Amino acid sequence: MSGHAIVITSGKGGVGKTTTTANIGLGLAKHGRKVALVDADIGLRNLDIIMGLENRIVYHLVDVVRGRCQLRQALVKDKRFPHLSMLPASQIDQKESITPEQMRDLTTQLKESFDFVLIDCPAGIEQGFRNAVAGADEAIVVTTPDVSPVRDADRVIGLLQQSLGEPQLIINRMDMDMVKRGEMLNQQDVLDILAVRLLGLVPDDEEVIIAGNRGTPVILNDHSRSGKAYDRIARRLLGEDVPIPELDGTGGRMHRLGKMFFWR
Amino acid sequence: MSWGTIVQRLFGTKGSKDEAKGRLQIVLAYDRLGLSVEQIEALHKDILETISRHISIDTDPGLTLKGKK
Repeated sequence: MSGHAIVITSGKGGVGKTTTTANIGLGLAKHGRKVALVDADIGLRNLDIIMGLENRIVYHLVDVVRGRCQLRQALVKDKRFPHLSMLPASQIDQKESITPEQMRDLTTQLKESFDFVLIDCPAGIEQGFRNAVAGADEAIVVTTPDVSPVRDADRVIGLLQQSLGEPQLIINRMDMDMVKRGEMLNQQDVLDILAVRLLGLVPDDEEVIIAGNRGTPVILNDHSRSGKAYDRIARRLLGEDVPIPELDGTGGRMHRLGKMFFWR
Repeated sequence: MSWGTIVQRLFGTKGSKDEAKGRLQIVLAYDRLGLSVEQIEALHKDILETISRHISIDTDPGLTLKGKK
């Protein structure tokens, strides 16, 4: 019985790869799956702080590869979900300190103990990208509906098609008010350009920033729209047929006011 | 002033930004030092030894650093 490894990538930095990895991982764990999150961004680790696990790190990915510790010693268990573990990146090494072959071995080892291995890929298409992709069975590409991330996503999709096959797409930070005004690419526009399968839409949501501040990913907030979107994505990955809803607007002032008084 | 700020002032609730700042300060302190596991363990040992010269320390394993032999 072997798990399934998924790399979360984008080309462009800052579009929400780490947030996506954290939330999908928690989503899968909430639905009872054993999940390992791997921060492959060596030198610029961030998954730990987004997950709120930064104070529990002892060893990291490069320590495991170098044989300085056992894999299980480096895995940080999430106390909120015992099914969920994180393998942190090293903060002091370079992307070149590991090879795609070593990453493949590591992922294979993780797949023996976990149902899902989610690999948070660094930005760019150089060695860090090649390492992150090496052990994966499939890829999720994250983009926002802006011109430069979509352009970079297209480049990454091209590279992935040569190695892993067709990736699935998540469009993050959709601002439906702007879409309605015709000032933002809508989902169909992005799909027309990139021609890949859509895995999910995530609305632009200030709760994501607050969740980052607190180290409690937004999927743990039952009231957040983005958290619900991530939960739908997790269920789709589990094979459930969850339709992709048309996102409504972020709501005008009245909506936000109501939310403030009744939900907080 | 946004509605959020007004509500926060009214009910005296604190935003999450102070939490973010505190967490960043701790993480960056570690990052800037660039200490290895061995160095952190050595530091940990020295601190414990220094404190134990003055007060008795409960050596409950739950209180010791994970990874320490």
